[in-house]
Amino acid sequence: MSTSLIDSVVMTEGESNALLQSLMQQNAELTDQISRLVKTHQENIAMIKQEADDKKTQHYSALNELTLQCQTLEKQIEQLNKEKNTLLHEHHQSIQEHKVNIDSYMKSTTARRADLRDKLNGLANQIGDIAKFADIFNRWHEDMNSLMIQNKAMHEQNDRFSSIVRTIVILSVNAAIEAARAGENGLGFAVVAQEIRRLANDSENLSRDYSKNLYKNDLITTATFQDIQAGGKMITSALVGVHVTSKNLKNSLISPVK
Amino acid sequence: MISENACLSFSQIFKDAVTSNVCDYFNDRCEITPLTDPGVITESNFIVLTITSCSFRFLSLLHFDSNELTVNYFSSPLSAESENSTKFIDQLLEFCNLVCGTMNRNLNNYYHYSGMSTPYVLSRPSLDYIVALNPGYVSYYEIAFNKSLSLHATVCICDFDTVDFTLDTSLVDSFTGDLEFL
Repeated sequence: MSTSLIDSVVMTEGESNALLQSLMQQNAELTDQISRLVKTHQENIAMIKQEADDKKTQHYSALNELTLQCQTLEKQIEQLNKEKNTLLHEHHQSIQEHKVNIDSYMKSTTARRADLRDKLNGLANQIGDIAKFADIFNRWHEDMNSLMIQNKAMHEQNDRFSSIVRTIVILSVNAAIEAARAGENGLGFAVVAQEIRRLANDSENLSRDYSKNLYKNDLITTATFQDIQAGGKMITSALVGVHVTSKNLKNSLISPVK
Repeated sequence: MISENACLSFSQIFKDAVTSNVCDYFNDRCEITPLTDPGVITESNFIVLTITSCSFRFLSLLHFDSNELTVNYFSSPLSAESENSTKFIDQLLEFCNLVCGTMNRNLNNYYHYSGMSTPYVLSRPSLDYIVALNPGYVSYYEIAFNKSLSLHATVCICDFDTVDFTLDTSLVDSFTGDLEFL
């Protein structure tokens, strides 16, 4: 630019006029351009301002709406808080009531368990006492041995009696023979001998029947007392089962409540 | 009343118990044959044992003589050298106890509550009065121990209620040990 000005110093007048006109034309064009630009800028500014105003209006509207929503929500939150507090209060009361009920139930249960334990202890003692009844059955069985010893003694006595009777029969036969030898004088003795033989035969039959009854008695006595002894063991065995059940029940009562 | 099935079951329980204990106790075999005539039972003594339940009593009788063959057979598990009549009787009683215990356990499969007596020895003539016990079922058997010894046995059931069961042969007695636990 400075070089051009220095060069223009040495220009002619015609050249200066032409340059002046050119500059003036350029100036006019620039002025025109500036005017258009200013106009365009003004239009742009107006448009931007309009847009800004529109957006501002929209934002205000949205803000108002949000404010309303916030107010509604705040009211709802406040209502919910109230309901929450009411529910919490009710829940707390309910918990307290349940706690009281549970405490009462626990006390009642503990008392019942203690009562049941006492009763089970009583039952166990009774079972123990009844189990001692087995001794009675054994005692009866021992009585059977005594009876059987007694029966054996009676068997032996009967054998001796039978032997005596057999001897009496022989003696009566001999007496009858001697009576026959004595003839007329022995008639009375023969009658006595015959009577003795009849009595001896009766005694022999009686001894035989007695022996049979003793054997029958042996079987019936043994079967009866064995029945008693086995029955005693059956009862004892059943009592052991009851005792185990009662013990298990007691143990389940002793274990803590879950 | 005792049913036919129950009679057959009692007989089978008896036979199974004798057979298994002869095998376990004497390591021997035996053959059991039913008899119709008790008149052939001539042994001078018999051991009697009773199993009792609420519905019945079950008497098992093993007839024996104290002859050399029997004494030798039943003394052998204890001692072959020191047999005498006391030990022989003890062995015989123990054998009967084992048989009765096996029967009792088998019967427990059908009758939960039952008890067993201790054995007792009676004389042969008492057998003739078994009807005095009013039995519902009586059966007689010959037991041949490996064909070297032959004894007789009697089974007698007195029923006090309806006795009806059928032996389940799948239930095998696996017990080995002491009999008396009470």
